[in-house]
Amino acid sequence: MTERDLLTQQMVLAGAGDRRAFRAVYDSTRARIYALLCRMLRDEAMAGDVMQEVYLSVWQRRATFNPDFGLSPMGWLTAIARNRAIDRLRAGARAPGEIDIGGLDVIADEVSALERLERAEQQARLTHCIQHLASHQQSAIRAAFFDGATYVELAHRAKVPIGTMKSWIRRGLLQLKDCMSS
Amino acid sequence: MSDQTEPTPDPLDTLAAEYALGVIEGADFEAARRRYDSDPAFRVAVHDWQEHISGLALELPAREPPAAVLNAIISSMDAVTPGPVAFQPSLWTSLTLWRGLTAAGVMASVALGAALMLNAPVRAPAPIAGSPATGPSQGQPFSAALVGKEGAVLFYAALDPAREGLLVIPAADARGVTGTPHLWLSRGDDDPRSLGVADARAARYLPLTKELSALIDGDAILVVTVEKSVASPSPDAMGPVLAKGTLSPMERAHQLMP
Repeated sequence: MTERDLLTQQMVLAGAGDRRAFRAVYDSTRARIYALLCRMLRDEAMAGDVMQEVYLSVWQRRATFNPDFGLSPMGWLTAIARNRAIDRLRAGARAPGEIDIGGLDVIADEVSALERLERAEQQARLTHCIQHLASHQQSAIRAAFFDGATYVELAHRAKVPIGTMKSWIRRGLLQLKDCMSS
Repeated sequence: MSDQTEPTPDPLDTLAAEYALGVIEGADFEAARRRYDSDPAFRVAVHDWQEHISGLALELPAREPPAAVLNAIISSMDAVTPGPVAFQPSLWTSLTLWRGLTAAGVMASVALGAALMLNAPVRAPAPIAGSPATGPSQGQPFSAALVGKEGAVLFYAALDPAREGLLVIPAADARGVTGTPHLWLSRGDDDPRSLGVADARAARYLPLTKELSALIDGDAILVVTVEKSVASPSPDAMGPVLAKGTLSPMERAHQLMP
């Protein structure tokens, strides 16, 4: 059974009200979600606050998770975390920073060899596909994802018309999806 | 790459991508959100995009949150009002989903009872785990791991909090079972009572009569025997015991604490 399968089972059990399964979901995902929130919000205290909101939202909406709807547990959690972080950013709590992946203190990533392999394969595929995009498309998509930046903000940063930015991102995402699906 | 080789964007898919990535705002965002709530095709497309782009988060090295975060989550869980729920039978009867459940068996064995709480909205408000434990007669979900002679969990059984039935889910190790698995209720020296036929390859819901329901308490043991047919044998002609286990209450909040 893969790490994703196990996490899916745990999420379904958590959806049924199983607190121990919910704890298992938290343990399996917390370091990834926290890293994402720290990167998006660039503030550890705020990341901790939003982290609580994310998992309490997951607990509240637990019964709506269904793997048949196309989202993996990690995909679902990532979407919820990004939406919460974007809400904070757009509420003016903190201005998004420049594009800068990394730069945070890192803990030892205590995961199984199998999980490392799965992540490595997924990461390698994504990296491969992103590298096939033009550099301006890569930057724009990463800035949108990690900074929660809108078309208007991205166009302003890149000093291009909004229509141009829309074209960059739309084409980049389509190419990325085709590559990931192939 | 030239424009001639690029695929023609599907407007629905494009909007789904923009919504998933979070680049639209204002009226466009609100319109997309309304469409997400009302248009299943759009919702599927959004999920597809969310799944694709979620891999970007793997570019970041993992980072451990402070322990206080978990403590705060746990202390707030009971105050959270569960959102609307709907019983999703496809999940509970999915062999694909539950294949290999033994790997998560210890975790699952005490908690599957909560599954049937999803039926609660059509009866009474679902009890929130963490409320005072008052025994099986007051709607608390109970469940059991039914363990075989080799020590492996073969089935999970969950008692509906409304006490109207048992959900029986086979674990991965049950797939090798030959014959018909039959579920019994055993209490003390009384003759075992038949609860019905389980399935070694799919989840099955076994309705309970009020009489049988009243017999289930903390002393009740669930037993699975192997029979030659689906016909219920008499208690003195039961087949060999395949697995058994005791119903116990679902996990409680304080046990989640690190």
